[in-house]
Amino acid sequence: MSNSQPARNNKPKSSSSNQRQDGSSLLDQVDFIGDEDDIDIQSHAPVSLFDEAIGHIEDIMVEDAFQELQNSFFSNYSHLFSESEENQLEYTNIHAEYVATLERHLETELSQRIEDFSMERFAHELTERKDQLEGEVFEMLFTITDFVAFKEAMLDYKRAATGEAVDVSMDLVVVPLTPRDAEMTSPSASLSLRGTGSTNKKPR
Amino acid sequence: MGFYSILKKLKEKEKEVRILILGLDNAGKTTLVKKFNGDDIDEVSPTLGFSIKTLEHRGFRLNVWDVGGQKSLRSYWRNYFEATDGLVWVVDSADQRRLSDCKQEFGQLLVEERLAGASLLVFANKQDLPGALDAGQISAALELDNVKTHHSRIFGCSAVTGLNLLEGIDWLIDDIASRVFSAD
Repeated sequence: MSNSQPARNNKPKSSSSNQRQDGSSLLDQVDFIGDEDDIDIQSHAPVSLFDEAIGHIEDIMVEDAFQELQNSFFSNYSHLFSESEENQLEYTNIHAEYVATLERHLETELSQRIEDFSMERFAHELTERKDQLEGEVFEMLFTITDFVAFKEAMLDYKRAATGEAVDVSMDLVVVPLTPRDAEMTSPSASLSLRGTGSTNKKPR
Repeated sequence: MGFYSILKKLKEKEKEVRILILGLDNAGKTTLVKKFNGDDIDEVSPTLGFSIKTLEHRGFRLNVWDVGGQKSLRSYWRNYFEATDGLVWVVDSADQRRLSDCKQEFGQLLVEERLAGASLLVFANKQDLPGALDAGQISAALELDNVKTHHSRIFGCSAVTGLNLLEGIDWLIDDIASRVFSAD
């Protein structure tokens, strides 16, 4: 392997098949897969740390390890969450811990997949390219940082975990009849709120 | 600084604004948010945690964070400073007894580094109550004229009648927009 280029052929753990369509050349692909032979590739198409890292982040986030990390968080804490609109102060700490844990995981994984990975440099590139932050990866990343989305995910998990049946009471709509309607219908249906002229009580 | 926090910052381009509402307990923070949002304000109980309301206003998406103001909760306020674009300090203008308390807590926020970039709106609330100090008096009590760390403005308001709520929030948005979205 030539020393003239920074070594880029560290073996990725996962598929790099989704190398980004932007700017990554076939040579890069070869370089990534090519650990069987000593193919000496001298010239790399310039792939920025940004593109390379984003490709890896896409991989990392769909891997089991990442999902398990998320799930263990949900299973540890979802019992603390309630449907109430007002949030408990401790939710904030839990969310902060969640973000930190996932971030640590991403950073560790990225350092293993990219030689000399620097979070600082990557963060800097993010800032430089802030107009290009479109697409699914970014939606997922944003969602992780968003408290409201986090709380929703927690509650979803909780509902699923507790096997909460559909609340049937929500499907029963009790419509109070207006007095005029009540007079026009049979006495048994006169459930007017004021009970005008009727001694009927709510059935059952 | 992790890249999540950077991503968060970058989201500003979507005209999202984060507003943090603080003040002593019973200042009327929750009522104010509800009134502004057109919600029922008849049954507002003390906030023991925090609530988030997302409001669309003038093409902006306002993420309004309303955190409880009881003494035991104030040490948690700092958990909500990050990435705040606008700080709203709500004062119970009729509670003169706790005005010094109010000033002290307010002063601590002003020196908070993570709030340094935020526009500051002070609501002298409860103008509908007899005996309420007016905006000028509250301003003097808080020594607002000496605040050099933030763009600031005070409005006398009433969360119950709705007086000046819109004016205050509009000023806040204008001020934030002139700093953050000036490129548009």
